[in-house]
Amino acid sequence: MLRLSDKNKRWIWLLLFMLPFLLFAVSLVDSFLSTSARKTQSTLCSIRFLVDDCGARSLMKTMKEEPLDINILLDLVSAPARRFGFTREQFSSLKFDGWGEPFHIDYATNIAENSKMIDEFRDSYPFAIWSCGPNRIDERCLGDDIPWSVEPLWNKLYK
Amino acid sequence: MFIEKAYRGFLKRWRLFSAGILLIAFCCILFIPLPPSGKFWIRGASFESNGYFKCNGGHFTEEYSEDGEVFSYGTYTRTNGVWLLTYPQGEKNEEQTFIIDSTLTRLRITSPQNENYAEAYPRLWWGIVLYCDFMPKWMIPDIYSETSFGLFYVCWILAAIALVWLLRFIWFLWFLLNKSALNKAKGLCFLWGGVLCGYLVMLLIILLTTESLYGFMEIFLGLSPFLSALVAGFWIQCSMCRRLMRPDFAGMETGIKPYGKEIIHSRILCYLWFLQICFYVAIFMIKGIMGEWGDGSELILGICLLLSMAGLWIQWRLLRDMKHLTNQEVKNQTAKTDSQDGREKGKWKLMDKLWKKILLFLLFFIALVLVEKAIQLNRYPLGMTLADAIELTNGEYDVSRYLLDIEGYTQEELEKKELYYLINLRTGVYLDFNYYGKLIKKRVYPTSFLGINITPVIVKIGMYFEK
Repeated sequence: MLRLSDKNKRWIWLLLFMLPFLLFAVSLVDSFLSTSARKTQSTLCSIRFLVDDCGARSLMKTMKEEPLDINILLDLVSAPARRFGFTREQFSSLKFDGWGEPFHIDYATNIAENSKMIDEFRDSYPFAIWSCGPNRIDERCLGDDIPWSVEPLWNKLYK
Repeated sequence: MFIEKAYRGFLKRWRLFSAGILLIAFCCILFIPLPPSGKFWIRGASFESNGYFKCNGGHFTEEYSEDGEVFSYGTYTRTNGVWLLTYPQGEKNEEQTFIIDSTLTRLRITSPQNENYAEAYPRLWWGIVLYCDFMPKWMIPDIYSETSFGLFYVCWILAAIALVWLLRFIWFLWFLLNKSALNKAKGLCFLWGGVLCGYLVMLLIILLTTESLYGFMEIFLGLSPFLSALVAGFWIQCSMCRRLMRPDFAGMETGIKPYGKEIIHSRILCYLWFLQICFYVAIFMIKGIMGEWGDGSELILGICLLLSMAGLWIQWRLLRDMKHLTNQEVKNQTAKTDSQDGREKGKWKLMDKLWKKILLFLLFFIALVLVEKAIQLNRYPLGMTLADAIELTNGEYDVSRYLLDIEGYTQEELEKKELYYLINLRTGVYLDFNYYGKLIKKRVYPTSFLGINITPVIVKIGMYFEK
């Protein structure tokens, strides 16, 4: 059986005590690290929140007469955005994903056949918004595209 | 071993290392360049109606001095060697452009409307403010105030010293795990010193953030017994450490005279640690009764409480060992005594068992988790906007609304009512916002430990019990 000297044991304990330090440093750096994917997720979450606040169905009624466009949608949610303290710059950044590409929007029914995920929010949202992802090619919510998350994270965890 | 030798060398020359770190820090201020473009991120910056640039403290947004409107920051870009700052101003949010003249150490911002200009921060400040937006408000200097800039340099010095002491703190763990009485006493010196420094920093923060001096004095007087206990503890521990280092305590003697001063001191220290714990528990209770939860300070208190508990435990064990060594029977066994530091092999019972080490490790782990949570929670000052909070959250978060119907509420009620929440599952931060998107309450949940997300585990346990 392996027998360790007292000194080596102390070294092992010291290294063990250093481990939480390392985890602490890594988690702190990670929480401050901003990546394009994170920015995109964050922006999509903000849009969903603003849409929720206005009511997706009522927004849909307003937009019925006009072509589905992310700019029109953002114009409609600009009032609550101002109330929540979105500055002009912050608000205009909602049009673009982390790679600088504009977001895409379409009726959920139009893209539902292409993606199983869209089926999940067909009932709750009449339209879907997504980012082209790192390859910057619109694949209609497939491939590396990042669609908006339509339900709270808590609900997902409970599933 | 080379690492051990290097570390010992560092400990001997730690002042030199501190000076070196400071020198590097000042060099960084001179030579770190600005990024080519980014957000104009000087906190609390505002242009007055005459185009004059003013910096008066604040966070992310600033108040326009004339009509009280709140404006955000603009952006800056560097094109063809010219720095341009775009900044929304006025009720119509008209964009105005200001020219930034980059010098070696500072930035000069000029308004095209008139000849006025203002000097902004040193270059490293831009780097810090751009990338480390968790810095507390009181660390941001007012560019027109010399004292504020002085504070900025003081902060750097403190940060450098803190870094060196952090390295020494790791050594303190080594001391506590050691079997030598002297090393244990040294370790306790660090523990006392750490708690005392933390307490003084807390007082400094209160002094710099409190609105009135009277308010600060009230807090200070209320906590002064606490401070005196800490100072007394630190002083007694240091004197005990010095006594143990005296040559006549080494050699054949154990270094501990029967019922000597060390035992009395150690007993007093036990009482002081206990007193500290009582204070912390009392503050917790007062906060609970007053309903003042959720401001982040309970985490700092929690850390102090854990440290005090560890201190009491170690001190009590040391006292017991000292009493044990005063017995004549033990005195006869002093042949095994280490001549260097009065160590008697196999007789010191502190940290001699696996479970004690594991317990200390757990305490240390929990303290680190609390520090992490405190940092995360203090990134969000009360009153900040929902939009700014979202920008800071940067990752896995969820933002939603509590109530769908807000009819029947007055404006005052809407300002106080928690209507929207933002939760970050990565850090466990939970923020409540009012109708106008202002942060009114914040708290943190143990959904993750040092970056390890344990939410699925919590959910599964919850579901198991629900079943």
